[in-house]
Amino acid sequence: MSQPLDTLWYTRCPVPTGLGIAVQKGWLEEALEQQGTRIQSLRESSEQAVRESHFDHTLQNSVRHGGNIPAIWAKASGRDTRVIGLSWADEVQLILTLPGSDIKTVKDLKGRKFGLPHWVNAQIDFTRAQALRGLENALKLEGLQVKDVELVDYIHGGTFSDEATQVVNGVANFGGRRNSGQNAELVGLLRGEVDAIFLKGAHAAQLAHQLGLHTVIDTGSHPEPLIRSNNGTPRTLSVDSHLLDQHYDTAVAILSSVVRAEEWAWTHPQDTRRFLAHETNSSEFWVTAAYGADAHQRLRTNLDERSINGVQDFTDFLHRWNFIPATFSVADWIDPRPQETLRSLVATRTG
Amino acid sequence: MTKPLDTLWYTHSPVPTGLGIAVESGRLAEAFRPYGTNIQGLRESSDREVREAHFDHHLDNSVRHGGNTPAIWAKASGKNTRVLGLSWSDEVQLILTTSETGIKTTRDLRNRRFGIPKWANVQIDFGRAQALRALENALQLEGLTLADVELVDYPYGGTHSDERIQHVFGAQIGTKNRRRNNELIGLLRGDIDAVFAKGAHGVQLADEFGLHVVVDTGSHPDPMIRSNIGTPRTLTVDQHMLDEHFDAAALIVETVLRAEQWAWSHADETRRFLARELNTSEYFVAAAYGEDAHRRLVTRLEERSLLALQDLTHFLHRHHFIDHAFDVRDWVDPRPLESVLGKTRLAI
Repeated sequence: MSQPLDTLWYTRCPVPTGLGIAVQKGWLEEALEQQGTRIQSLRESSEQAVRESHFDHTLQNSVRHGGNIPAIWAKASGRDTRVIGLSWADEVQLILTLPGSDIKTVKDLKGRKFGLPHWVNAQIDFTRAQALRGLENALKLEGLQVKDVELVDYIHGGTFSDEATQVVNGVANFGGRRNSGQNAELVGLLRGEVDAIFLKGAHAAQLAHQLGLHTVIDTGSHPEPLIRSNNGTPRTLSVDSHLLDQHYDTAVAILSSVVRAEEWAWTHPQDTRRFLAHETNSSEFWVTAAYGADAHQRLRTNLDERSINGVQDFTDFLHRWNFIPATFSVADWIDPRPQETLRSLVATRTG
Repeated sequence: MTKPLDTLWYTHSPVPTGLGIAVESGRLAEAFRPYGTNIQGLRESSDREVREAHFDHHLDNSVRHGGNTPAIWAKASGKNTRVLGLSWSDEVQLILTTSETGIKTTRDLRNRRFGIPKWANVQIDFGRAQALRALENALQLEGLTLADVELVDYPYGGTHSDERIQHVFGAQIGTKNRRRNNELIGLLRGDIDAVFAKGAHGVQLADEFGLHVVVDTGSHPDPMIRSNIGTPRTLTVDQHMLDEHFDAAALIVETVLRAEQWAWSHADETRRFLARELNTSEYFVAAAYGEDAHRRLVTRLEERSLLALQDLTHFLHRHHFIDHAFDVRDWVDPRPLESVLGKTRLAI
């Protein structure tokens, strides 16, 4: 039987997620209040260990919706988590060069220097993993491999959870201030130390514009889903097994509020665009540039075959590049029960 | 109406203005609908000459609310315009450096390289003027002058009216959509030691690249130190409109004041509007214009604003952006504002 839960910790990435909208709309709070559960934001905590759980998922009774790399890493490192949903919101994934560069297409990257971030103190360096993935997928399309380019590391100190997220006017900055060096590889590109770098999402679109950079390829808009699959495609909605075992109704309520937020988004493009601008700390114009004019339609959490294949392929990638100690079966990681329960609840209600 | 006005041309800079809110919320069109006046955005025109009127104000029956530098320049160049109101929304005005330069305070700028834009083909290079103004004001606080710093020009071709402006999700976007920030690139490359950036984009750049803020002249207690292109902003029309269509001029002022009054009690919606207008996030709007940004939208003819405008006019003359200075009090026509304040019960 499901036990009452006192506090649910929640966290989501500064990207388009159903959980993010459910939080902003107050629907997560509302759904859990009915079960006597209060909610707490993990990334706004004053404790670094709590904030770090956004990445390593150590906190019991927590839910996370966001980039799949930290979730895959936590699972591969032995955390007992389960995926209860996957959402695939395509976004721009850009390989960028200077405007005067002779690198115009992916083929031209052969033998050139590619700048990669390297967060030495982070448990899981998702920025490096996603850049490598974008690069490898781009090269693959031209029959090239990562070893055909010269990788240049840009060392970042600190971790991703050094600063608490600040919320001003309901707008989070997501610890955006990681201080100098946040864009070390971009600065390296401008200085001519490297020939190309990877950036993604709304900030990538904006920076490419402000600095007049040339887009060699956007793997995020390739027709083949496995070429597009990366940290954000698909994103994982995950909880710890303890929550599922002891507080199953909470898990169902979480999924229910996420789905409610997404269904609301489909018919509220303007409001959704504003929410996404809040979440990404960007403008509505840049949100649209990065996530499409149909960004509101791209919020769909389910357990589609395409998404499962995408996560499996990406898990194998992370293992091949030693970001995780062992690969595993993504199908076994998924717990479809909350989705099934939710569906039968809806069927009962409408039936 | 004095004489029916066929077409009213409007233009506002992508910054916080009462006219911007009046236009984007539909209030301006609504106010003029009973008179059959056609409302047209100058910067959205397909004609480059018309778009350029945002800067040189050569079109009859046009209203502009925005940075004062082009307005001062147009007046000094002989355009017969009048100021109907001044609005003062303080914003951050940052002198930025990288951690590598070792520059901590304004004093450290001495003998260092400061990058400023230089638009070769424009009638009035307001980007250069605003950077020079902030730098001069900052240096002055430490007893230094521009001569103590090495200025490095970053040339730009083209003009600010080359592209037709479109409103895309609220943002004023050029059709070609390309504008490099060359001084910023120079700073990041280590070619120069400091640059100027203001407003939400300034804060965002500082944040994005972990830049060090040497000084924010926009938050100095002395209004003369804060005065620059946006402090205060000018609400201007052409003399022709005042002579022939005085009621239209008064209606514009009334609509702007009403839009601002609405903003004062709608913090959330105003912040969203400003974020769209500035093409930035609401977080950076609050960071650059304050959490009380909505309350900073006030168009009047305050003494402080007039003094600052006069001081800026002298500054622009001193640096040869304009041929001669002039008395800004003669430039102001207070009648429309007086008539509006006299007739309506605006909560002030």
